[in-house]
Amino acid sequence: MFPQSTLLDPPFWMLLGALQVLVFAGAGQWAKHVQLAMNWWKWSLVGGWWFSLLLTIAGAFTLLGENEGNAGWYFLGFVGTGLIVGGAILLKVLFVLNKPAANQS
Amino acid sequence: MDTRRNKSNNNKRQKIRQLPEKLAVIGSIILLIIAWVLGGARLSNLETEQLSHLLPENAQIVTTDQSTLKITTNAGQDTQWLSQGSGVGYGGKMDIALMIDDQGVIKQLAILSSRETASYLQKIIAAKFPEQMVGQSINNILQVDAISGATLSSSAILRGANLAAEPVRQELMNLSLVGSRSPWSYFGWMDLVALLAFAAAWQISKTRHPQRKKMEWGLMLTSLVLFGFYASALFSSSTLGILISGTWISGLGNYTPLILLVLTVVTLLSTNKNLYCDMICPFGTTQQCLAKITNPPTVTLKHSIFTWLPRVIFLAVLAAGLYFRNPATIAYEPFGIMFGMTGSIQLFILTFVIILTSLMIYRPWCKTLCPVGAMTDFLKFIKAWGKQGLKDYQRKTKTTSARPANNIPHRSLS
Repeated sequence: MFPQSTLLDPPFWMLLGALQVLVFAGAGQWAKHVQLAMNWWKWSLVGGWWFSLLLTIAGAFTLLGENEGNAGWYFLGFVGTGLIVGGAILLKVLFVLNKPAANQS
Repeated sequence: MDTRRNKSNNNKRQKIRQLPEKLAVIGSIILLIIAWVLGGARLSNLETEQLSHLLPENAQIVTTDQSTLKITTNAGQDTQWLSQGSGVGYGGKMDIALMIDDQGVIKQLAILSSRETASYLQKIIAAKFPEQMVGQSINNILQVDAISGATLSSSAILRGANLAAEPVRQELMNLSLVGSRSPWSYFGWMDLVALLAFAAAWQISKTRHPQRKKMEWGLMLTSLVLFGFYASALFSSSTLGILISGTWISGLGNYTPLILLVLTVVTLLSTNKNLYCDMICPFGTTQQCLAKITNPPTVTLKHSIFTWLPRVIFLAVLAAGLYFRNPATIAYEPFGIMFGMTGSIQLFILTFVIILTSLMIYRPWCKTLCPVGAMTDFLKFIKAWGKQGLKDYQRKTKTTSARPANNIPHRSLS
């Protein structure tokens, strides 16, 4: 990440790791707030989606860093957009699955 | 009496209100005619200039045919041939010129004119497709593998080169290798599907069947797969350019978008229904599918800039297409990226902005920049204007035919 420095890389990645904890803790709180009734497989889907998104961003910027500009932008555009649309579908599914449970209570 | 006067005043007021739009219609037609005339002169100059570049210095033209020149250099010792042929690519006719020596070997190849989308031509040039024909002998049919992703354009260049080589081949080797092509060979099964899709859309629009919504979705999804992802055959501003410039007469690689456009115009003028946007447009269906996920609100853009901006862009694109004799010069629709993964980086960004916006606003492309909206407005306005003109004319003729009876002097009656 920081080619000119040997010191900045470890704290940067530690900070990003800590941010992941915050993201998932925040997502858990939000899911409780909107009564999504999350379970292990729902969390697996959400985690898989988030991991794919991060991997896409990382992959695209790696390609850009390797001077493969077109490949980087096209990868980010096609896969990233697909993932955002996929995320919207996943969210819709989570809300739809939650409906009967909400009605029962 | 008062009602008649009020009616006539209302008519006058309406006419004054429509004046800017009428002037815009007339101005647009004049602009398109000027662009077409200037473009013709430009193309003719360009072709002559390119041919003169191919001619060697001190060349003497010995014989001339309709498309072939026999040239001698070195005081008549070396003989060469400059020959022209044309093939049909995705956007229409492509003119090719060949320089062939007296042994029947191709020395140079030039593309004199093309109506292909720039990205297809770039692929061909980057792959050095024309250069692969230089050095080949014309005693066999010229053969080069087509470039993936630009197959129709590659085939057009190859056929144009083979047709250019044919008269020289006959003269030098007494050989005839290229057969003629039937005009029907340009039509495919997708053209028939386009006709069927319109027939189905027409039937669905008339039916009161309880499952009508499902039928609509069935047709929309079929069109999305066939006209979108399978054939990438949506019509765009360049298709309208092809239609009005008449380039489709000399052949097209793909007639499906043109058929869809003609059917849209015919149904719009005859029934006032836009069946294409409602049930066939694959990009409209894409936006509608995305809207199904999030149920976004329908936003109505009331400011006149949102009405006039797409019209101005559409007119500019059509005029540029006619001037450059290439309707695909400035394609600004996201269809190529969405369904064919072909287009500039600007279109690439625009496409993904629209896809993501479709999750937040209902059909954002249709409501902002889509040229079909501008075309529909234009046609509807022309139709209403024509109808009004016809009514006025009929009213006038009625009054003038009724007037002599009223004005007959009493004397003559007796």
